[in-house]
Amino acid sequence: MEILLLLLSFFLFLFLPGWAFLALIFKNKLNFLSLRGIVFSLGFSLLIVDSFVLLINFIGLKINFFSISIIPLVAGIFLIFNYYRKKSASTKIKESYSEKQIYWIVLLLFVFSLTIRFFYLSDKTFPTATDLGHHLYWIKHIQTFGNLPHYDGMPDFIIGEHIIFAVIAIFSKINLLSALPICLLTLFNFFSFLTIIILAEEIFSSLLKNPLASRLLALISGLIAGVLYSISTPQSKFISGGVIGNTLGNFLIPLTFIFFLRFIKNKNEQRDFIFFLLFAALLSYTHHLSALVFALSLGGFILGSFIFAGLTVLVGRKDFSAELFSKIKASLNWKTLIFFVSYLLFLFVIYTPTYLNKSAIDIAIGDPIKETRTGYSLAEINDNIGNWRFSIASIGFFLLITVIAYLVFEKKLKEKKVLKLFQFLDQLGLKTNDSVISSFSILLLIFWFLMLFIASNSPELFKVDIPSRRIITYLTFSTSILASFTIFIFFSSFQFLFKNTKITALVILALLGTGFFDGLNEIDNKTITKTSHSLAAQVYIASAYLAKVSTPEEKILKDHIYLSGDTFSKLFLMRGYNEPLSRSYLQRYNDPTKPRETCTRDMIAQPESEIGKACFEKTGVKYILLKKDRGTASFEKSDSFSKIFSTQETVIYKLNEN
Amino acid sequence: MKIKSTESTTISLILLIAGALFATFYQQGINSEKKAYQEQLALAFENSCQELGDNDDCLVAYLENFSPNTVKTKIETKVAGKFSIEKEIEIKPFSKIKLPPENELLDKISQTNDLVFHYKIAVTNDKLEASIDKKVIRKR
Repeated sequence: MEILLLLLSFFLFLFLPGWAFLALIFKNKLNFLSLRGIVFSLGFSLLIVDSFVLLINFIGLKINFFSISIIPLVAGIFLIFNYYRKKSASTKIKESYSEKQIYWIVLLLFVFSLTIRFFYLSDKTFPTATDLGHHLYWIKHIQTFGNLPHYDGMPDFIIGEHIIFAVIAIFSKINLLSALPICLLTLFNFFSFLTIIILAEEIFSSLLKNPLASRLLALISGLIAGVLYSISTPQSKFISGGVIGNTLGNFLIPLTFIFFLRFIKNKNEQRDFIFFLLFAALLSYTHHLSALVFALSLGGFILGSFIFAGLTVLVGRKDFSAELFSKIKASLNWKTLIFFVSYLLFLFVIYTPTYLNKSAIDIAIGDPIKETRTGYSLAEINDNIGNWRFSIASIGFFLLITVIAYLVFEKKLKEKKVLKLFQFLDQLGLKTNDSVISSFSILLLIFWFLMLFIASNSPELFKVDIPSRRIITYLTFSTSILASFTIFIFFSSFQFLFKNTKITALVILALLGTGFFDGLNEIDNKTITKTSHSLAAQVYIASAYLAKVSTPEEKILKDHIYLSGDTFSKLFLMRGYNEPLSRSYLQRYNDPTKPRETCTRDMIAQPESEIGKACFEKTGVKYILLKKDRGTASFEKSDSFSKIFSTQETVIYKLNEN
Repeated sequence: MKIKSTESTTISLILLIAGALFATFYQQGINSEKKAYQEQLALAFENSCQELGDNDDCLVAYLENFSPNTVKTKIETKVAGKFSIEKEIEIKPFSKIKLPPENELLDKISQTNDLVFHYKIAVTNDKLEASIDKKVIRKR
């Protein structure tokens, strides 16, 4: 029953609203049961649900079962009405995949990708990850109090990370301390690589003469991003780690780029430009780092496009700059103005994301000083992205630059008949009648990769003061698409040179096989070993006990060093994000940049000392939750504390009343 | 609305299989949750024991999926470090047990200064062990 409720909730809030919207906008021309149909439905559903919840919160309505049920109700009524409406006679939007290729998707991407994920995550559904505990507190806040939190001004949390989880939990009434969060994250992660497939096809469809080739290339991108590297970050490891913002961001970034590319490629497609703006806005309400990374990539592309257009004028090609200015002109209209007015209204009146304040921006922007923020070397980037993927992608990067040069100088080169290499590229099937659009599509991919590479390698150039390990994960998608281009060129070259499909297939299989071993090398014994969640379960039992016996005035201290799942304790208490207090890793108390409080450390390390006693007095801590035999000796000996609770591995001490 | 039958059928199939896989995945989560809570034993003092006839502290035992469903418990009450009462009882899941009366011990003591009562409770069976230990200062 609970499972059916879960699936129903997914359908009603993650697909139905978007589907209804698409039926309205595309006048039934876009089929829901198509790759674009289901991916766009999820994207628009997220947009609709988030906007609706922000609006009802603004007007003071409670976020509860009845208020959120309006969304699927209205969407359902609209779809029924739409079903009986006269169908539009206009041409259907092109659907991309033929029967044969769809089975490729089913076989290679869907089955492999989901099963590998489920295999890896099967014993990780019991929520224990530290980050997930922090996020679930705010999700439970929405569920419990029926309004949106302002995160006590903390810039690390963004409202879009939590609304959809809260809506599903409120509607289905499924406990948040269950497999629900991991299931939902898996779904978004799965769709993020479906989005990559669509994006890769959008990038290359204007470049390659044969539509089958661009589809094949798109499928290879999906294979690399979603199957070969399905365990490493930002894939399954982000899911098990409860990294909500990045996972949603990795779905929204390619989706936003898809609509931007559609705007570039299609004539007078103002609608796609508005969709691009809407998803960019949604990204800014969902994850600050993803929004920053997106802005960097897009900014690099815009700047790069101007420079590129200028250079092409110098070599006698004015069509590139003409196209660029026509797009700028197309983007400036009253619809764009309405969008920006609405967005500013949302930002400054309806709900302001907490990271939009001076101190938070000052922290993220500036010269990086900490070692963890000063960037990764080329070798470290190589290791993080995957040796195979990064090497192949690097080749793809330079191949694409060659392709752009070919597109710019194509006519001149042909006239002079100098470079056989370019003629060879032509014979591989590169489109020559649409060189302007193709170049801009490729430039987007190049700058997406280049900007993130610089931000990962030399963040000081962009004044980005963010942990480099977080930025580097965003390189995975652009490198997957670049790598797929290299494989495609290898494939075409072998086919062209040897005219023997068997040899070509063998070479490609060998190439992908190497990638398979590199990508899945993280499935080792450690991964397969079943994780025991017994300690976390004991922490939850102890937390439930503390919620029952303690009053809000009696503060609680827990030990984050040795306990598992301890960040979930706050869900049992619901007394504020910072309760219970927590002893953190000892190195965190030695911060050269600013003084840190040390009471949470001293109350456990030396409870009977003068410092310890003063800390108990100052903080009002009455209860201490520890792992057995980890810092418990002082409490056992002391007459000031009683051991009032015990499981096999956890203990709770209470400060005796005098 | 005309649709491409192949793509629609395939996507329908994907949605169906994905639904089934997610259902299995979620069921796996439920099993994992059950397993985590299996054979857990917790002992605690409770502040409110009105159903036992007074408001004094009492002992509560939480046992999850235990077989047999009771465990033997030894309760030891010490006062002034020497006089003590020992009692063995059986605890069932979520049962509340009143602690041994302090009066029996108090009668034995002629001291007039404040006394520290020391309750030590240990639960053991073949697999698990837990103990709690409470010190209560009684003003004289």
